[in-house]
Amino acid sequence: MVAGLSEVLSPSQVLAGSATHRTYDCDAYTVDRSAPTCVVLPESTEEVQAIVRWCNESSVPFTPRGAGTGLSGGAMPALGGVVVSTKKMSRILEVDLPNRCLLAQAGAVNIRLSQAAAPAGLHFAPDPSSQTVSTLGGNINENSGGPHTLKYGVTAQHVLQATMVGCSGEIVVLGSRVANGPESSLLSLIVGSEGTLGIVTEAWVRLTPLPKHVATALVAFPDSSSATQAVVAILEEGVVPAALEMMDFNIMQALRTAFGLEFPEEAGALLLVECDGEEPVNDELDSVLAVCRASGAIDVRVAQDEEERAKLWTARKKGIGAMGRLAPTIVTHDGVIPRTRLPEMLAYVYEKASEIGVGVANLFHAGDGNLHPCFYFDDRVPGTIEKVVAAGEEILRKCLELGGSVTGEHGIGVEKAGVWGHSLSPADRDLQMAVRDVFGVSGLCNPCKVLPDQKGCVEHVKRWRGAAT
Amino acid sequence: MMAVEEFIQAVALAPRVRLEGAGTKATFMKAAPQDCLTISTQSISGIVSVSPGDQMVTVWAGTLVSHLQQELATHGQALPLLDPNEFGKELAGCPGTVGGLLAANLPSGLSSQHGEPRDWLLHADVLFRGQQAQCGAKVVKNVAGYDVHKFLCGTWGQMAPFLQVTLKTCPIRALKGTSAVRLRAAALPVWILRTLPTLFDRVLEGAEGLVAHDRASCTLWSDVRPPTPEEGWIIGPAGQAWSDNLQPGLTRAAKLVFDPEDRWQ
Repeated sequence: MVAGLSEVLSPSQVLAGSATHRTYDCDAYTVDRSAPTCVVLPESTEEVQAIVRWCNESSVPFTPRGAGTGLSGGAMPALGGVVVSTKKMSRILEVDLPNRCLLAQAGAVNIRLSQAAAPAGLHFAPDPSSQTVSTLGGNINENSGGPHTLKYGVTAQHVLQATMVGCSGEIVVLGSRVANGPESSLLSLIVGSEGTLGIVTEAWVRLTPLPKHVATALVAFPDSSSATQAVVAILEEGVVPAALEMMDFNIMQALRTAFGLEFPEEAGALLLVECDGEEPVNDELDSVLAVCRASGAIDVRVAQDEEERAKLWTARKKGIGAMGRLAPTIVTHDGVIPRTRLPEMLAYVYEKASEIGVGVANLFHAGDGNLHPCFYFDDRVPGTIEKVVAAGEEILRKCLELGGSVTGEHGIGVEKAGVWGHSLSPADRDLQMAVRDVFGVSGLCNPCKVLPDQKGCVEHVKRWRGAAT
Repeated sequence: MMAVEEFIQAVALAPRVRLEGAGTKATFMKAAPQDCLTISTQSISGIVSVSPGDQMVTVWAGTLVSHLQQELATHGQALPLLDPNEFGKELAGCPGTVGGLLAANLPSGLSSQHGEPRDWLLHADVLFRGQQAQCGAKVVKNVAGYDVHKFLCGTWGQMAPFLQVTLKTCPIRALKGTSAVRLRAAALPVWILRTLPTLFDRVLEGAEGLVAHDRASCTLWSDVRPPTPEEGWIIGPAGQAWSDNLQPGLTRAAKLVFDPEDRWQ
C-alpha cells in the first residue's frame, strides 16, 4: 500500500510504521481505536483526487482527518486503510474583504481565518473550543458550534461553497459565494456529513463583522438549578445574548485548584453572559442581569475593559483543561435538550454519576440547551470505563426522551452510531440512507460512521473497544 | 382518520401530484402537466405547540404564515419576516403557507439579519417515497445525521414534501429593522436576483422594473428580467432560474433517489 501510494504522491507524503499507527488510531475520542495502514499528506484537491482514485482501484478504505480534535471518533480509520490528513492543506487561498468572504484549504486552522480577516473588522464566526487547532475541513464535516453560535449560528450558516472529492474521485463544487440560490442545497448535506460523503478540500466561507460593542458578565448562583432557570428566563424575556455559558460547582473547584481562580464561596454555579451588537448593548446586559437577580443570582461581575473580559472568559475556556487536576481520565459527552428541560436533565446527570461512583462536571452551552457532562475518573480501576460508556448512553437516551438530540456538536461518529441508529424508524433511516445514494457513496469512504452499513463494522466494534482497554 | 393520513392516502392514489399551499408563489413554478392532480396542503394545518422559552414552534405544513405570526405574537415571538401589508409581499418573502415558505426558501427584507427559512428549520416530518419520515431534531442545535430537512428547503416540493415542521422563532424584541426599500407593487410576475456586494450597484443601475431592493443582502425584486451578473443567482417566473453554480447532474440524481416515480410536479 505504501509503495502504491508513493507512486501517486511523493514518498515523503506517505507515512507508515508503528509510531504512525499509534498516532492516528483515534482522534480526541479515545475510547475506541483502530490503526491505519498508512497516512497520506496531500497538498491539493488534485492530490486528494489521485489518492481517492487509487483507494477505489485498490479497494482500500480511506478516512479524512483534520487536526484530530473530533470527539466522536469520526477521524478514526475504522476498517484500517488510509488516513487522508489535510495537515499540508492549510493555506488561505483568497481573502475577498469587499465581499466579506474567504477561500481556504480544508486544513486551514479555524482561528487563522479570523486572524486573516481581523484587520478589516471581520471574523469567521464559528468558534468551537478547539478553534486554535481544529481545521476548516473538520469544522465543516462536524458542523461545529461554539459559545457564540447562540447568536451567530453554527458552521452551516457560514459556509458558502465547498469543493469536495467525491467517494469515487470526482471533484464537485457545491454552493455559491452568493448564498441561498435556486440550486438545490446539496451543500446542506455535506456540512455535518462527518466525512462520509467525500473529502472536502477547500471552501469559501462567510466573514461576519466583529461587533462594535461587547458587554460580558460572570454571574454566580447558589446552585445549578437556579442558574439553568435563569437561562430559560433570559430567553423568555426576549433577549438573545451572543453567548450564554454555564459552569457548575465541580468546574469551579477544578479552576480553583488548577489556576487559582477565585469565585464567591457560596456559589454553586456560574453563568457567563455576553451581549454584543452594532449599538451599545448595556441595556441588553442590564435586562439579562435583572433576570439573573430575580432568579437568585448572588454575585455579578461585569467586565469593565477588554482585559477583564478576557479574564472572565478564562473560567469558560480553561474549564476542560482544569479538569485534568481532578482525575487521570476525562470523558466528555454531548447531548441537547430543549433548554426549558435543563434543570431536569442536569439533575439526571448528577444522579447517573453518583450511581456509578464517578465525578461529573458540567461546562456547557446553556443557551442552546447543549449539555457537555464531563465524567472524571481513574480508568485503571477495572470496569470503570465500561460504566462510564453505559452511563453516557443512558444520558443520551434521556435527551431523546426529553425531546432532544444525541449530539449538538460532537457528531455521531462511531461513538453514537448505536444509540442514534436505534432511535430511527425504518423510514427515517431510509431517508438518511437516500443521501448516500445521491452522492453514490461506496463502502470505502470513512466506513462505519454515522449509519454503519459496511461489512465488518459490527465485528470491529469489539476490536476497537478491546484496543482501548 | 387523522388529516395527515387522509392527505397521504390522497397523494398515494395520484401518479402525478402538484402540491399547492396558498398559491402565493405559483408564478415562480412551471405550469403543472395535464395528467397531474393538484392537492391542497391546507387540509394539514394547525399549530401543534409553541414554546417561547425554547424559541420553537411546531406546526403543520398547510398552516398560513399570517395565522402563525398572529399566534406567535401573543407569545412575544415571530418568524423573522416583514409584514406583507406594510412592506409588500416580495419583501415579506411572498408568504402563504409554512410548507410553501420552506419549499421555496425565498429571500426577504430581513435576510441579511435573520437568514432564510432554511436557517430556521430544526426538524421535519416529510413524505418520503410514500412513508412519513423524520429528520433533524426539535432543539435549536443538532448534528445527528445528514441535514435532509435543510436540503429539502428550496426544492419546491419536488423531492419529499414537508408535512409537519419545527421552526426556530425569534423574540419580537430581538427583531432587527430592515434596510430594504419598497418602490411599488409588481405589475407582472416577479424576478428575484442576488449578487455580491461589489456587483450590486452596477446590477441595480441596469435593472428595469424594480419593485424593491435590499442593499444589506444585495437582493432585488423586479417585474422585468434583470441583467445577469457575473456571480450570483436569479429566480424568475415559470421555473426560470440561473445560478453561477447550478449542479444539474447531482440535482437529477437527487430527484431520482427521493422521487423515483416522478410523482411530485
